[in-house]
Amino acid sequence: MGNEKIDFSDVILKLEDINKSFPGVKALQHMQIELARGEMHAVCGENGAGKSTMMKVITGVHKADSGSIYLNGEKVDIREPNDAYGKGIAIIFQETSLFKDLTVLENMFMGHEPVTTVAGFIPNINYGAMRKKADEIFDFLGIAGQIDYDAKIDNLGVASKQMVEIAKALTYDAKVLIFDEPTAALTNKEVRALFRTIARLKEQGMSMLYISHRMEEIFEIADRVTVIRDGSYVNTAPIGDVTEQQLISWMVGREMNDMYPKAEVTIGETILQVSNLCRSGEKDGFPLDHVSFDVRRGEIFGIAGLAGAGRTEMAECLCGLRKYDSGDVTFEGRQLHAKNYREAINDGFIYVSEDRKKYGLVVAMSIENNLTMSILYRLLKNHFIDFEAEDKLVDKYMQDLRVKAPNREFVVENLSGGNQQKVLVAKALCAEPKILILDEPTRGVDVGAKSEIHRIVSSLAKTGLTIIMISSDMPELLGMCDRLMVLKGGKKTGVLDRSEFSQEKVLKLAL
Amino acid sequence: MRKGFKVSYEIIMVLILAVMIAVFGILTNGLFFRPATMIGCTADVAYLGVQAMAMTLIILTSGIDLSVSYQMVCSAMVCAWCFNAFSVSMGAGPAIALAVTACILSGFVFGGVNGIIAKHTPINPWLITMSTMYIFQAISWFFGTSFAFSAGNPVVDIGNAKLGGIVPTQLLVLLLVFAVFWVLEKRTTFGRYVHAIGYNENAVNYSGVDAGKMKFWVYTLGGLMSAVAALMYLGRSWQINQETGVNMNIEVIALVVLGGTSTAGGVGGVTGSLLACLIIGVLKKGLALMGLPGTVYNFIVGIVLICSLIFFAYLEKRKKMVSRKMAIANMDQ
Amino acid sequence: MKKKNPISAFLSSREGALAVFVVICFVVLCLTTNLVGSMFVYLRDLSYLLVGGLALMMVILLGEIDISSGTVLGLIGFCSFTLVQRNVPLIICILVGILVGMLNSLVVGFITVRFRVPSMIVSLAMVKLHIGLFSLLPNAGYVSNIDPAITAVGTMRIGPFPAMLFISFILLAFFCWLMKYTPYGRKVYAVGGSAESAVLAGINSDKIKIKTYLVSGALLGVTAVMYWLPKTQVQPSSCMGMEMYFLPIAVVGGVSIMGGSGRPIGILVASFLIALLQRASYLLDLGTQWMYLSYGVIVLVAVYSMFAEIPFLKKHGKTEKGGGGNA
Repeated sequence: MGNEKIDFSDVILKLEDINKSFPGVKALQHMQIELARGEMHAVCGENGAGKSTMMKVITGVHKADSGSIYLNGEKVDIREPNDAYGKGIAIIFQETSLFKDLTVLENMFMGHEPVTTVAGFIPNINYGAMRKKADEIFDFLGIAGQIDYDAKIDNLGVASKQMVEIAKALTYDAKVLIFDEPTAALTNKEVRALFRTIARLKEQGMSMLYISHRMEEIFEIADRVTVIRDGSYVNTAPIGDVTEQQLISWMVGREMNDMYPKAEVTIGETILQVSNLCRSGEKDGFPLDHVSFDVRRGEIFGIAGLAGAGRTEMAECLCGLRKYDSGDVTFEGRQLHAKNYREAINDGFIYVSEDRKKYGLVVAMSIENNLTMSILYRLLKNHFIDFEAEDKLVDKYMQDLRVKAPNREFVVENLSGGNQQKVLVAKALCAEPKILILDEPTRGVDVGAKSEIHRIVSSLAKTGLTIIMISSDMPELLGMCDRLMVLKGGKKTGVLDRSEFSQEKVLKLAL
Repeated sequence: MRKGFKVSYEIIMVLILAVMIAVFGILTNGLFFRPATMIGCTADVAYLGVQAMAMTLIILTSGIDLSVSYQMVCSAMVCAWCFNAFSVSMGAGPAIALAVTACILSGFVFGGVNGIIAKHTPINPWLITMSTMYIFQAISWFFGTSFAFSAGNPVVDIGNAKLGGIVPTQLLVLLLVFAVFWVLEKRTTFGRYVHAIGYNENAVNYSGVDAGKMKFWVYTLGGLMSAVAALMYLGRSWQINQETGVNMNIEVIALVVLGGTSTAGGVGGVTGSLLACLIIGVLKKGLALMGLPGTVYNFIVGIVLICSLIFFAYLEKRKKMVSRKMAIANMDQ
Repeated sequence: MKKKNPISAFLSSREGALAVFVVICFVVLCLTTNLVGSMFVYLRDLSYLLVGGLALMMVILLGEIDISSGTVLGLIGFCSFTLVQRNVPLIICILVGILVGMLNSLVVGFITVRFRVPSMIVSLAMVKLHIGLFSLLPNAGYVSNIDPAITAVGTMRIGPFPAMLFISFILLAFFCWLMKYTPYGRKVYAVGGSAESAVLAGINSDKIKIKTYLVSGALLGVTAVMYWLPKTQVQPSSCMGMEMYFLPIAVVGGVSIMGGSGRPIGILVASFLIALLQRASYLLDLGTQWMYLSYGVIVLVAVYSMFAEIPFLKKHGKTEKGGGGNA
């Protein structure tokens, strides 16, 4: 694809000075973007940069606090999803919005089925018209006959579901299509199929926004690319006028030095050896293919890679939270195979989940209850909970980690993201682990708290604790880690030592 | 949670109890104030209260047990059958011991069935216990249509006895069971995890705790308490039949819900259920003393239940608004 | 793409498998017992069970539940037949019954939707309310001395079939159409299937829920009329627990308790089965214990089949899973 003579001044969609805040977070600040007719416009930025929020404002899921949206030069008011659909704006969601028990056809037309009126007032859905329109759309997309209209969504694979989502968007006579990280869960073959479809759409004059942080994709299909960072607009450029290097620097744009207080730590002998870990990932999660690595005492070992590379699965396998098919794990000389998380904790491993609201914390309970949840059995006096000991322990950790809250009984839900993350880390430290595995430790955390958490991680390393850190935040990994392993599609593509760290090298290995 | 909203709701319930006693006392011209009546009124509903204790834990895990009614009926039938079968050959004493043991054991078995299915399958507890309710009902029919104890049954004597002529043994058993469950809920790891499971089962599993095991035990306890309730019931009346089981599950669940425990899980506790039981006992006796037919109480309970639910929903909404404000106030920048 | 042959589509579905099972049971019972002799009563039972099953299906499709659907029959019976006693034209009485049903369901629905209270608990409270109401009514709600002419309407025949059955089938046909061919019907599935996706599809969930409760209530009204008409007196208390027939009908009929899936045709097949169970236990002179046992087992099997995968259905089930693509 590329820049075949798109007139960038023929603007179909424009966002001007859009601001949006949520409790505790300023998601979008003075955001702007322009989409030209027939253009494929990529939007990239790190996790948390505000890409999804911006799309939700365009499609009516959120209402902007201030600012304007222009469609074909006219100011429009988009308050709810139906408004966006009515104006020809449709989005292909990252997590599908389909109804799993209904069929492809039913999903495509849900809420706006073609209806013939009988006797003036009796509505009758015209399935024949639906099939005809579906045929047209599938032809338009170049996938005629490939998906069974009567198949239940639940029975389709991820790629097919996405096709249905695209088809569904087209039933609204969309003029603007938005793709939100569509390739995150697709295989290479499926990505090619998607791009063929996108090429078709482009031929037919569709204007598209494409959110992604995958450089090779952006350079393959986009006409222009806009970079956003921390909720603000950075820059826009035609794809031919910019390099990957430049994009990355716009995305990151920070002085790395002051963010990452790396302390000098003596790194010891190898304590963890993982060899040839394999899992098929057929039933659940992503696969791992003969991953081998070792970790040394006292080091901060990073694991990088794109979503779907298997980083979380790797960590969960080490901690008995997920089954693996084959491979050896040796820790401090002993062969381990934890059957469940409790055993892993007893072995000295602790895993801090990336989704703290779902797996990490019980947000409706107090800081105290959350902190001690993993090790409550160690705080017993005569088989009953020793509240005094619990209070003392919680106070100590709250102080050490500088958790900002009025008291121990404060409900976690009311804490800011950064403080919630600190509670989660404290919960992990309570168990006095030998290896601490952090999965996206600063996701959804504001800048100030981010550096605090990094400070904590650094000081933990200084005490001799071995840390494995999984992150999508490149500067964070490069700033904090001693060594870094990159996973791609379940395989290890490389291990870098701190002396050879560079963003380009890591990205190259990850993409 | 040790402070905050929950305590104030329980205080409200105590106040309601006091007000009700006062009102009924006045409306019955002082009849209600007689110690024997006032304290004794709970004897009627104590067996429901005991089941409500276990049901509270089940509902706290965001589960439910619809089969308690027929667990209780079956356990009672097991008890009565054992006694009747062996009282002649073994003598009343040993026969009663056997019958009671059999009853308790049956409680474990029935509860255990629910527990095993809840632990090992992802089936909704609603559906699990609806099915087992039918099966237990069937089992009760296999026993026969009704069972009456033979004469001279010490259980009935104990069951109807009153300590010092005032405090019925039923109430004492209820308070004892409450004490045990209160300790379980508030002072053991089990209790802490039960609350947590209701809020977020995933997080519990990711804390190295086997949530499935906890769920198994709450249902088994449910069965055990149904067996205890069976003994208590048999202690007051001579016989047991299937009619007793009709809608008993609704009564028990109503006690738990009135006591402030949310069916979504996590929120609530056994204290509320106990207070709800006492309130219901007072209500029932008070209405009876006023000469109103027994089912007027049903009507009032229905209205009270609906009103309390609306009240809870309103409280939840307010709590959410307050926590939004607090979250904003706690932003880190 | 052409539609699949509807007959083969039906047979390869869960409802189809169940239908085969029911037909087999039916034939076996016809041959071994006097089912043919009591066919009329069987079909009359089927009539009200079918409509009651549809009533509950509507609510369960939303992801809600209505436990008061049993006791409300008694209430409707009382209201309706008190008017019958006063020689009000039957058609008015029936309409009143339907209105009472709608009112009851509206209360349940309103509290559920407006106050976000779990429908299970709301309907539970309504049960207590109903039971209490019965005691407050004159004669504890009993209505006797019903004009035999009215009762005769209940036992009216068209050929060898009860007249009621035709009404039930007309209603069934109507709902088969409603759920598949009207935007309202589709929205019910959406609201029950996924609340978030429904919002994204621009659907007003609250409005749909209230509408559906009203529909369910109207159906309960019809159920009550069908239930009481052939009887010589109305005894509200005998309806307690009837929801424990309608619920299994829905569950066995393939309506997922989580909401969002299930078809009226499944209700038809399931009510055939449940009515058969009732009749069979009577004909075979089985004790109540076998009836309840079979209910329990059937519900367990139906429920388990939703989570497990039945081998011979698998061929038409999962077409692809995991990373498999189409290009």
